[in-house]
Amino acid sequence: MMRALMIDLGLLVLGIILAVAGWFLTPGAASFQFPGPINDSGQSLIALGLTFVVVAVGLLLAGAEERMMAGTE
Amino acid sequence: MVATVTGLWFPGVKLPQFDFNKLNGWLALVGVGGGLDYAWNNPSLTFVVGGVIHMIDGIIWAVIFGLVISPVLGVVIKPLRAMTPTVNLIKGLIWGGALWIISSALWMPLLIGPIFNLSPLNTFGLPCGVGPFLTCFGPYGVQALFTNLFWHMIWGVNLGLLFSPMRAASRVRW
Repeated sequence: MMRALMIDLGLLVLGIILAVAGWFLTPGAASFQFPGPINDSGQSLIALGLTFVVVAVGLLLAGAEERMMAGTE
Repeated sequence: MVATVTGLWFPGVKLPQFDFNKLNGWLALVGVGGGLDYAWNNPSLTFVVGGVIHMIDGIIWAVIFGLVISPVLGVVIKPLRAMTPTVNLIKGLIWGGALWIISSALWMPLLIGPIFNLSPLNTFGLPCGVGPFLTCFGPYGVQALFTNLFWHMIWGVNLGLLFSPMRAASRVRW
């Protein structure tokens, strides 16, 4: 259980690092005006990083639900 | 719904906006009045019509997941047999990833691509639509492909966390 938690947290931290790196690589401020800032590698890193973050948060929530279910049985 | 709304917020984190409502609306209204003029001139209608289509789309894919994909994954891949929240989430992520590939390889290039007349020219001097695997999505390159992955993972996580099937406790089926 502890190992799974460490993997989830590792994925979360990796995602945050990638997203932050992508944010600094992408020039200009975030904008809702089309087309907004364009940088292939920077925006790819942001998207991949946030993907890891979303998956990690999902795994943490699912793990928490499993631990709660085990606690109520 | 959550993924669709999040796609509209993507520019807030410097990503290309993924407005699937508008894309579906263009696709539905492209034939009305000839070309995209009608859809361009009626953005609210385009958004609502496309939104309804996209919601129904999402529901159909979720039902296919619940009735076919989730049980089949449990049979084919032994570690995914258990019906725990984590396993359900992993199945949702697998289905989200599969739909990302279908969307990037088939749906967007074959349906959305042809309605873009203003897209950049490819090496053959022809409009590239959205390009193979979204590599020519308007002014964007490969980041559109990864942004599409992000969008589909949001959908997969929501689906996997919400879908919690129980094993039948008796022989009674309904």
